[in-house]
Amino acid sequence: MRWMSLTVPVDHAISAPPCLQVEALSVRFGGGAREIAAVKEVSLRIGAGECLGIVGESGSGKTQLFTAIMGLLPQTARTTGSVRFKGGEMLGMSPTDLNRLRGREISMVFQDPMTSLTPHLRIGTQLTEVLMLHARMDAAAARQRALQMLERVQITRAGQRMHQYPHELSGGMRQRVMIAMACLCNPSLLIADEPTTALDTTVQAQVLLLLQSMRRELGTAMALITHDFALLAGLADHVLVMYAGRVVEAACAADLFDAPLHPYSAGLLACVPRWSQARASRLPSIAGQPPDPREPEAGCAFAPRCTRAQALCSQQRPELRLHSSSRRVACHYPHDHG
Amino acid sequence: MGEPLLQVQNLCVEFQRHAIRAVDQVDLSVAAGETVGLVGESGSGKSTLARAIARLVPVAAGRIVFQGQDLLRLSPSQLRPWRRHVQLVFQDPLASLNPRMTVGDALQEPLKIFRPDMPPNERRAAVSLMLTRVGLQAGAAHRYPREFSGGQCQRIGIARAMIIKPALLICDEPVSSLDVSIQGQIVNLLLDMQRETHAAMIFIGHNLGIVRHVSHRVYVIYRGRIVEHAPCEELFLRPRHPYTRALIASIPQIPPVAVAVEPAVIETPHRTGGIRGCAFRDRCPHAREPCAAAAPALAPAAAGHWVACLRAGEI
Repeated sequence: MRWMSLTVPVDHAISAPPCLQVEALSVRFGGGAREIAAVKEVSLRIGAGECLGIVGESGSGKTQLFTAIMGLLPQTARTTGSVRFKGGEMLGMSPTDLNRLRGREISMVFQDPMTSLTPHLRIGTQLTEVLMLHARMDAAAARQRALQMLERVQITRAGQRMHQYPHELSGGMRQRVMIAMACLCNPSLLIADEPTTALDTTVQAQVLLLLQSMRRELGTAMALITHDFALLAGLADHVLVMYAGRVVEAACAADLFDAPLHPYSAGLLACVPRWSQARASRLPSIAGQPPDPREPEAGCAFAPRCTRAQALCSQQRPELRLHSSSRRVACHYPHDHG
Repeated sequence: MGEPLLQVQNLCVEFQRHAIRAVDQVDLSVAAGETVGLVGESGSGKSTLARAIARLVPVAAGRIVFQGQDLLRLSPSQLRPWRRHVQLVFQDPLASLNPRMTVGDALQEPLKIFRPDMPPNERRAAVSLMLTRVGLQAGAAHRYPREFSGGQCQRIGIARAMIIKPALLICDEPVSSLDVSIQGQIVNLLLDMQRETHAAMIFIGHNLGIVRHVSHRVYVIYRGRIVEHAPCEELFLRPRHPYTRALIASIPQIPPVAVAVEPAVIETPHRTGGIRGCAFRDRCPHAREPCAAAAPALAPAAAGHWVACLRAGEI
């Protein structure tokens, strides 16, 4: 057994040129009275080699946000705003150019590795295909590189695994194959959407470590999307907290874990069971349900579930504004840790 | 805790077509009103064990003594009245509800089956009462499962299981598919319902933080075998088996802690009789030669604390 720490010192490369810069991105579905705004004016920035954590409940728009960034939303969706990857605008890019970017420069790892691997193709075929298409490698070189990558993600008997089909592998192994595939072309940006939700905690710990070491060794920037704050600890440099399609808090990870400003961030953090604490009689949770996206927005979307809400909250929506040098929060009555 | 409500002895479940022994010589007991946690990774046999106790999968050998009666000796028709005493709550709340039945019909169904003498208006009243009890509006009875969120569907699942007042409630990963923010709501609801009805509970989960919160005693299962069981805090504060330790170490925490990484991957469940020695030894950092010779039996380590590891005393 090797003892490794999930806490790895991270260079806070604030000055690094942005790998991904998103400005006021909004995503809407449907029209007229039935219009649903899934993502509302989200701005974010991921520097080269940085890891940004995005946390929120189901329906908070975190997945839609990155599906929009990747240009993978259905035709019925209307995306506005700006998505710049290494300075180049991605919104409105031709499908050919987008395809060149995806797979080589930007790759994604999804929650369910079974549905994102092609069931009737051998692992080896799927891996080498990526290299032959995106990196123009010949079959032998691609095979060599695929094998290397499988070993890199600690898959035992890699040569044998190349001949297997996805269903012959366990869930954890499939997710490692997905990560190997995502890293084949040394992407600048890796987007991982709930990469460990379907996995056991033992396997989850391995996958998180793997992502961490990939990032350290290959310098890949990362966006890690999750509903569980605990997964971001030790991995993310910065964190965005999303609620009902909007960013409600943005801060550096350490600050956020130490002293969350938004009542929703504080509530989510409280839901992580603390091992050091004695057993409480009630498990912390956030009362109520996330709002129905079909309902019109009035005031703060979190107000009906918020313990700090006052009259103002249901009347006027709080803007995301600078709280201190590196922190932004959208709340009329944020927690005061001073 | 007095006379056990449920006593499982030497239980074995085999899936013949694959010659797999999913549950291997398991002993387990649950007292009335007690919550027993059952933890292990996917494929460890925890769900199969639960389903065997509910008599939903065929059993190869052993005894399931429930309220003094061996359920394995009953014919299907004799078994039927017993089923109301053991109810299940599943992981995927939407998939476990019939999409073409209103919530009200889904909740009435167990009453129709087990309380056929109950007049329809009383039945409907019981359903409304139960829906309010689990935190839904009584009007929910006229709606369909797809109209509800995951957390609300799980409330419906709990209502359906509890409406006939079972003596034992088996919860198979009841919150694993829910948002972290909602998990607490559902767990608190389960605990409240249990306090009110004094039902015993088997709580299956891989999130040890939650299992620790709800359980009185915890069993750890690995490849079909119980490798450790103890009172809850004893197990989590003084785990003896290397597997239990690895499970506990893998819980994500804030602030992050050092994680012991298991090098090996989970293999498919073992074939009947195909395994010799300790099943965990190929992933175990403490494995020595004797571990390959024979599977260690559960032995007492402290009061109520049993562990199946040859080296439990020295590591």
